[in-house]
Amino acid sequence: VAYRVRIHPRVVPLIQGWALPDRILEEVYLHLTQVLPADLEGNLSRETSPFNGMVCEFTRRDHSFVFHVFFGEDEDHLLVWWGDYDRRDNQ
Amino acid sequence: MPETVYEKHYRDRLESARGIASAPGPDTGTAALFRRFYTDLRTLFADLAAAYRDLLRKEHSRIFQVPGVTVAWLRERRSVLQELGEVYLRLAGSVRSDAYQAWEAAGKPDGDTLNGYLDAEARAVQEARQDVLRHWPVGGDEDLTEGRAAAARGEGLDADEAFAQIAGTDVPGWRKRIDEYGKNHP
Repeated sequence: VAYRVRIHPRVVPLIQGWALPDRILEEVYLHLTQVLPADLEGNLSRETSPFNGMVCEFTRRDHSFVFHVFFGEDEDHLLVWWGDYDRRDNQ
Repeated sequence: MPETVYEKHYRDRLESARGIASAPGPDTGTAALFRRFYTDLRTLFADLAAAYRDLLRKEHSRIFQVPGVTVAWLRERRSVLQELGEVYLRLAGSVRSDAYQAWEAAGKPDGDTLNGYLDAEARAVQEARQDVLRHWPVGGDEDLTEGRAAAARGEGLDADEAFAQIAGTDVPGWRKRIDEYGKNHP
């Protein structure tokens, strides 16, 4: 099944607030829309039952991301519900 | 609920402070001893407030350092941090009240009553907790319920539309950027 990725509107100002460099923003988009759907098992951390959603985490250069993702009921899309961001040089 | 090393350590410190604050103290009937005991308590609670803020920072950083974090783990951390903040605030409130009564019983000696200082520390703890948990990648129970419902209703923007908005452009403009990225990173 080719999952489509949807972004909840509340995530728009969230990511805007991170003020990512252009290239990193493009890579976040590509990860969420291409890398993630191509390998859900490898890109989502989940409990036995994903009732409360799953976690998609990845790092691009020194930028680290964690997104909270839900399966849509129709099982053909994923909803990015929230997220968090950190830069490695802040750790 | 399982706790991390830092969380356990902080809880132990709170328990220790609780014991100190509630133990039969020195004779606070003299002004000098009253001032000494509560000045020490004031310092202790300032240290604990700073330690709580440090705990928040450490646990937040850990999210990005531990591979394979799960929703359950993130919820657990959120819940523990929330609760430890509550324990601090309750304890500080209790000490505030005890200190004031002791101050009155000692004949209201000169010097502050600790109240203003503890109130400021409590506010700092509340603000730090609110700031970190507002950005926590997994919300509370109500937020999870809303997320499940939103997914079930098929809510959400198409990713191109969402990222165009994020980038401050339109969808064709965003797609053009992604095409150019692809050409530069075949």
